[in-house]
Parts: sequence; structure tokens; C-alpha cells
Amino acid sequence: MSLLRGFYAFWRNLVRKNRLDQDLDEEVRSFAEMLAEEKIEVGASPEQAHRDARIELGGIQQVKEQTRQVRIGAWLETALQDLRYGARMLRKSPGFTVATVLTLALGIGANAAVFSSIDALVLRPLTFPDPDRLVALSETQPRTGFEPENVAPADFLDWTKQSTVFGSVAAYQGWAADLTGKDEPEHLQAARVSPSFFSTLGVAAALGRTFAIGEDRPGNNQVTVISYGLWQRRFSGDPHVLDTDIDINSSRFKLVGVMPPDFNFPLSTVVWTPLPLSDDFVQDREKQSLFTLARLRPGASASQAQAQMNTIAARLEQLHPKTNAGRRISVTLLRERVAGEFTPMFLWLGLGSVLFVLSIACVNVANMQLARAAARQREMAVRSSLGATRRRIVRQLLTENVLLSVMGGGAGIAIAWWLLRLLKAGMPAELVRLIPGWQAMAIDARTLGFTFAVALVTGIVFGLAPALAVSRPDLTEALKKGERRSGVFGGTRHRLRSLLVIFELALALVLLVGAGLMVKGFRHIAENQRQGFNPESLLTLGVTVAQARYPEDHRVSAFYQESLDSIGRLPEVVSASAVTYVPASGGWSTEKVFIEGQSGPAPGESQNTNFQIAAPHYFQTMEIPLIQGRDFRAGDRAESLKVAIVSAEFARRYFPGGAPLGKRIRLGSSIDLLTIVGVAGDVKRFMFDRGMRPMVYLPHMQAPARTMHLVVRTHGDPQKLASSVRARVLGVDKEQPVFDIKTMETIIDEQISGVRVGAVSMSFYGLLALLLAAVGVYGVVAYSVEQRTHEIGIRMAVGAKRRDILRMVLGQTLKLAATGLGFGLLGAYAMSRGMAKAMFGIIALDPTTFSVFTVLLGCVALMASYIPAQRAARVNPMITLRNE
Amino acid sequence: MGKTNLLQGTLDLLILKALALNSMHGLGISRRIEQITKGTFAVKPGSLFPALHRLEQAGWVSSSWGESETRRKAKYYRLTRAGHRQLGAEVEQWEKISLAIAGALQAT
Repeated sequence: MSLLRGFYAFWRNLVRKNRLDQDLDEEVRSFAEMLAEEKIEVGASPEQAHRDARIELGGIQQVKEQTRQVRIGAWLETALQDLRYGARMLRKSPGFTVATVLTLALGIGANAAVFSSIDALVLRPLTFPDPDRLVALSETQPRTGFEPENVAPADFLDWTKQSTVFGSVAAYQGWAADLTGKDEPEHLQAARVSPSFFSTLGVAAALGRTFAIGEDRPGNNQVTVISYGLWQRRFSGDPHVLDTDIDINSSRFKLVGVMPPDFNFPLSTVVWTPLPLSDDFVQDREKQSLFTLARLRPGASASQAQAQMNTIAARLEQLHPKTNAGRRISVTLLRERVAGEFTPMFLWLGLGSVLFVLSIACVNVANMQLARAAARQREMAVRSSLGATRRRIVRQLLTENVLLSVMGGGAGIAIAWWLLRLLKAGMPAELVRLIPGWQAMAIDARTLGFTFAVALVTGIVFGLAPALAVSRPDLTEALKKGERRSGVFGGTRHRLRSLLVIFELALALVLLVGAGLMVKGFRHIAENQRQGFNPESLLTLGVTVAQARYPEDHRVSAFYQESLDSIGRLPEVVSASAVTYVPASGGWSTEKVFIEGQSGPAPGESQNTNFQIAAPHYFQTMEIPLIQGRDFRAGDRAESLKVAIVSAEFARRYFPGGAPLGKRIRLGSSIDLLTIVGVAGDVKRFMFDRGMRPMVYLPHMQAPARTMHLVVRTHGDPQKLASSVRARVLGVDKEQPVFDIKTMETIIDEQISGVRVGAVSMSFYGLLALLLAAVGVYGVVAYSVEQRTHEIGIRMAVGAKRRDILRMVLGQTLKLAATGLGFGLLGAYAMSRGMAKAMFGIIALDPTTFSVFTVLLGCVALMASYIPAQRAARVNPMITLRNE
Repeated sequence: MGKTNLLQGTLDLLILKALALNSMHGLGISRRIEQITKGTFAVKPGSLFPALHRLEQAGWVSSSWGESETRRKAKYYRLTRAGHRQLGAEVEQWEKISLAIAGALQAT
């Protein structure tokens, strides 16, 4: 049959259905009549003839049905029929339908929300063409325990020349740009990029152009490209601004292009300039300052790339043993690097949790279906006897269940939308720009598709067991014998329901324990950051002093000193100082260190330390304890003795005897020997920092730093002082922008937002699971009590008291709960081990969390069964026994 | 008269053959098939009707309402031109198959 004919037949069957049915009816009847006529012909009586004809025919309805099934599009008709029937059945039990749809909506909606997050943040955080072909290349030095990820410029250039597996290789370096000019000075995130940066990513300028060949040579490289947002905001989207000059860090740059909207790579960059490839720079094999990425050639795989880079690394190690000894190259997908270490983990954990919640919801719905199925046995028996095959009945029941879950899915989308809104509102705007893909988190086509798929699978999963159980051929027998079994575990269907409840109790416990551990871990981390200093009443702000306006170093430190003095004169200020990177905020510098009188590191290994530049009274301001010696003071000037203060970890590592004061060290390539004058307490560099690193502090007047963070300890609320402090800085230099004015508490808060979101979500899911499990237990116990009224009546008649009946029912519940919680504890133990290994701050076997939730869940289960137990105890034996 | 189970394809072939010479109503087709197979196959209405409708959907037979010999309203089926071609094709196919099977059965 040709396709065209098929379509025509399909169409005709659909549109002319009633006419065709009528026609068919007439045809079959006429056949029966003619058959009867034949029989009359050979002598049968008319009644006999008609009866025989009908029998021979096999039943008019049957024949019609069989013929209808042959029609093209019959499946559609049956499906529609099933749907209509299912909808009617659901309308008949509105309570059940609403309860089920709501339960499913919660489960499916939560899944949709988490999927949407995973999709936006982990699976597709990059919006470039073919993002999975982009890889990040980093240098690792496994032996020192430090894992710098950046690449030395000379290495980067060698990789570009020697690799064949990449279509193009690019590098960039973040820096801070102060945009000055007619408007207020603004401090912006900028990046210096290699020539092939934009082409590697596959993004072209929306207006103008990106960098041309040769614009990385010194002298030619004062060009810049800005982001769309910046162009709209600061230049009012004026196209004539192209090819004009703008002032960045008091230097002139020619604006040659504007990037398309939503391009902010890397990490909220709004200004791009070429990476200046000076001779010094291209030969530098030591300072690992570049972030490198590459696009794989078509046909090349990441593992091939890794293999080639391993060879190149070995070659470079041989050629440059002094710098490259032990250096390896690692190739990872760019989107993995961009998503970060913790976001994917939290999200997969979240997905696991919502799947648990959905499973629990499914269990409840399945149980409800099983209960309802018992009531529908007569309906099934009748349909069976009318000739419906088991397959047809199961198919119809499944359709009904899928209808339920699709409705649940529809409602679930609304819940997901609301959950996402909640999530987005909970994240501070500043952090949002640092999380790639955050903006893209929404209910889009993929989420809808996922939701629909989940709804379908859910419907089939929870509907299959009841459908199969109900449509069994011997159901008529079961109907006759009745379901008078004793004990909650009696009967296969009861056993199934009890097993399901045990399963959901176990899941609920695992979820609750997980949530509890996360909340505890979150609090632990929040406390942890406060180690080492006092974060209360501390205001911080950042300042970058431009090269062009302060060319000499001593003027830089003079500026900072003057600003600090001015701030210190404010009445609400207890003390003011400055440091390159504020503790717990996630920034640090690393440098090689040499201890006078100690042998240096073995060849191939390096001895590194973190270091900070600090202003006088830094430790006093931060309330970091000084274990030995003194704080920096005004007397530590450029011309006085060169000093340093080290951290307790540094002293432990390099002066195990415990007498570092007076010893001298050297940092990096500097020739100055620094005398240690103090040992300060350790502070963490960032939230998830495990263990302390050695730290060296230098006084800013001896080692001026252009970018520093001012720290101000105040009497009252530090936020209130923000504008006065800023005014004081501007008072020293009215064109100096300040940025990131935040209290220390805010910084810490932002750092742990991610974990907080995780902890809150898991608590929410845990609560949901608890509620659903309670409902599940209630359902099963209530049903079994109902089934056992007869037995209870007998017991009461032979002398059992109300108390005994209560005890019996509660005892059965306890058995159920104990089994479920037992399994749950095993699962929770396994999960907590995994969580502790993956995340810092979580203790695996926390006895409080485990016991609290076990007891809680047990109590909830008992409470849920209390009402049915009461009902059982109130059974009137006279009434129940009379119904015998 | 043994009621042998007819394969769907074989039934189609028999119906087409039955209608090859003239048009008939359903009962008539059933009787004719009995006749031409010398009583080997008695087609149940439950199989006949679906088959007829399937053939009509495929465009090999067409139907119209008419009067039976006993002046009763009955649906008559006749072979279309495409149906004639199909009959020829299926006959050829059948002969090929039966030759092959006969040969296979005779092989030692």
C-alpha cells in the first residue's frame, strides 16, 4: 500500500468515523440476515435460523470490533478511547486524582528545577559554537603540593608551535582596568588576550573588529575591545565611539570593537586588550601567569590531545630542566573548568535528592493505585468477561496512570518555575556574574522535554505494578474469596504495599540524614572561616593605583599611607590598614622562597610560599594574633631594615625548632634579605581551603603593591561608614576609583552562598520526603486496618481490650518502620562517607544527625499510624461480626 | 470439513481470486472460497470482514451497496484494476514459494 493511500485511509477513518461505523453495522447485520436466510432455505425455523446465524457469526459486536481494529489509525482511536475512559475514571474519584497529581507535581517539579540548573550550569555553561571542542590546558607540578593552573608564556608559545592536535591555541590574563574620562571613574574586570583568543572561542565582534595581526607588539597594542553591556551603559550604544580613544588606567587605548551581547568570557570581563608580547615576556618560562585554552582540530579527541601534550611536556622538561622539571600538562574540557569544582557536585547531589523524592512520591501513588485497584475489581471482571484482553486492560490502566503523571508534570512545571525563581532570588547579584550560565537557567524547551519524559516514565513505573496486579485473570476468584487476610503483611498485595513503604522510609531517612549533614557542614564551614581573625565590624574596599598616574613605587605607598591615615582619623574607626588579599576571599600570590642558612630545594622541586603585602597595624586591625614579635609599624620604611612577618605554618615548616625571629629569607628573584620580625596566626585563604599554607607578609612601604584592599575596623555597623571611607580616599586623590566596598561578613556570606543553597535545598527535599513518607505510612496502615476490621471484631469479642488492639496496630507499624529505617541507616552511612570525601567540612559518622533523624522518622511513622490505630480500637465487634 | 487456520496473506489471495470474475457480497465470497478450495477452507466472518476492509483500504477492492438475490440490501465487493494486478503478482509469488517448498520437501 502506498504512503499516499495510507494517509487517505487514515484521514477517512478519522473524519468519517460515524458513517463508517454505521455502514459496518449494516453490513454485518445484513450478513447475519443472509446467513439466516440460507438456513431457512434448508428447512430451519426462522427463530432457530436467526439464532444459529448469530452464533456462527460469532457475535455482531465482536466482529465489528475486529474489523475496526484493522483500520489504519486504529491505534489512535484506541488510545483516544483509553484516554477518555481514563479521564472519566479519574473524574469519578476527585480526591484521589487531586492527591496524586499534587504528589507527582512536587516530585516531578523538583526534578525539573534541578535539571534546569544542571543543564545551564554544568552541561552547557558556555555559549560558544561547539563548546565541547574547547579544552583548557594547565601546568601542574604534582610534587610540590601546590597546583598552579596557569602557564608560563614561553611554554604557551612552545605549545602553540609544537602541537598539531589543536586548531588554535589562545591564552589570557585577567587584570583590573580603571576606566576614567568624562564619567565617574569605574573599576572594571579586564583581560589581556592572545591574538587568536576570539577566533578560538568562535566569537566575532558585533561592531567593529577584534585584534588584528601585529597588535600584540609593543607600540602597536594600545587597542581595546569592550563588551556590549559596557558599550550600552557608558557610551550609550553610540556607534561613533568606534575608533576613538578611551582612558584605561590613565593610558590611551583606541576602541576598535564591541563584542556581542552576553559575551563576558572570561568571568564577567568587559574590557579586552591584547597580550603584549614583549621580548621579556615571550622568554619567561618561570612566571606562570597565563590561562590557556585551545580548540581541538576536527576529528581529534581530548585524549589524543592529552597524549600529545604529555610528549611535549617531556620534551620541554629535557630542554629546560631548570624551569620545567616535573611540569606536566593537563587537558580538560573547558566547560568543566568553567563550572568549577563544587557546582557540579552540589547539583548532582541535588539531582540524586530529587530523584529520591520522586521515588517516594511514586511509591505513594503506586500504593494509592493499589488501594483503588481493589475497589475496581468488579469493573475489571466485567471488562474481562466482555472480551477485553489482558493487554488491553493493562494498556488502558497505564494510559490512565500516564494521564495522571502528565497532569502532575504540567503542575510540576509551575512548581519548577517557582523553585527556580526562589533560587535565583537567593543568589546575590555580584555572585551571579561569576557563575557562567546562571542567567540561562530557565524553563526552556530542554527542561520541558525532560519533564515530559520524566512524567511518562514515572507514570509507567508506578502504574505498571498496580496495572499488572489488578488485571490478573484470576481476579474473579480473588473477588469471590475476598481479601480477608490477617496481619499487615498478609496477602501478596499487602506485602507489596508494605515493601513499598519500607522502601520509601529508607529513602526518606537517607535524604534527611544527607540534609542534616549538609546543614551541619554548612555551619561548620561558616564557623571555620572565622578562624584566625575577627570578621565582625570590618569594612573592606579595593583600590588599584594606575601606573600612568603614579609611576614611581614610593608614590604608590605614599598614597596608601595617606589614605589610611585619613581614614584612621574618622571617629567611628577603631583601626585601619591594608593588605593585597583579604583573608577568606580567595586571592593569593605565590613566590619562591629561600631561607638563609638552609639548603634550597632539590632540583626539580620548588619551595614556594604564599605572600601578602600589608600596611602597618594590619594584624591589629584584623585581630590576627601575633604569636611572636611585632606588627608592621610606620617605622618600616623603604630605607629602614627590610623586614617580613611570617605565618605560624611557615615557622612550623621552615623553623621546626621554633626560633624564626631574626632569621632572614629571600623571596623570588629579589636580592634583598628580609629579617623576620614577627610570627602571626594562620588564616584561611578561601572557604574550602583545607589545611594552612605558609604565608609571608611584607610591609607595603618596602614592597609597594598597586592593588590593595583597605580593611577598616569600626565601632558600629561597618556598612554605614562606606561612603565616608570612600570620601576619604577620594579626598587624597579625586580621580581614584574604589571598588568592592563590602563588609567582611558579606564576603564570607558570598563565599558560602553556594553551600547554603545546597543545604537549604536538601533540607527542603528532606522535609518533602518526610511528609510524603508519613502520608505513605498512613495510607498503608489505614488500609490494612480497614481490611482487618473483621479480625479485630473477633479479637475484641474474645476479650481483647482497646489498648491491646492499639498496641497490635502500632506494633505492626513499628516493625515496618524498623525495617525501613534499618535499610535507611545503611544507605545513609554509605552516602555520608561519599559526601565527607567530596566536601570539606562534613563529618561522615555524625551520631547526632543519624540518631535524631532516625528517631524523628520513627516517631512520624508512629504518629501517622495513630489515627488508623484509634479507628481500629474503636471497632464495634457487634457491627463487624454481623457483616459476616 | 476441517477448519484450517488461514494465514492472513493466503486469505487475501483467496478473496482476490474469488472476486476475479465477478463482484459478490460478503456471504457470497465466503461460499465461493469454500467452493474453489473444495471445502478445505471455511472462512469465519470474524476473519473475512477485517480482510475485506483491509483490502479496500489498500485499494484492491472497492465496495458499493446493492441488492442481493433475495432482494436484501447487501454490500458488494469487486476487484479494482490495481486489485487485478495485485492478484497476478500474488499468484506469481505463491507459485514461486510452492515450487521452492515442494523441491525442498523432495530433497534427500
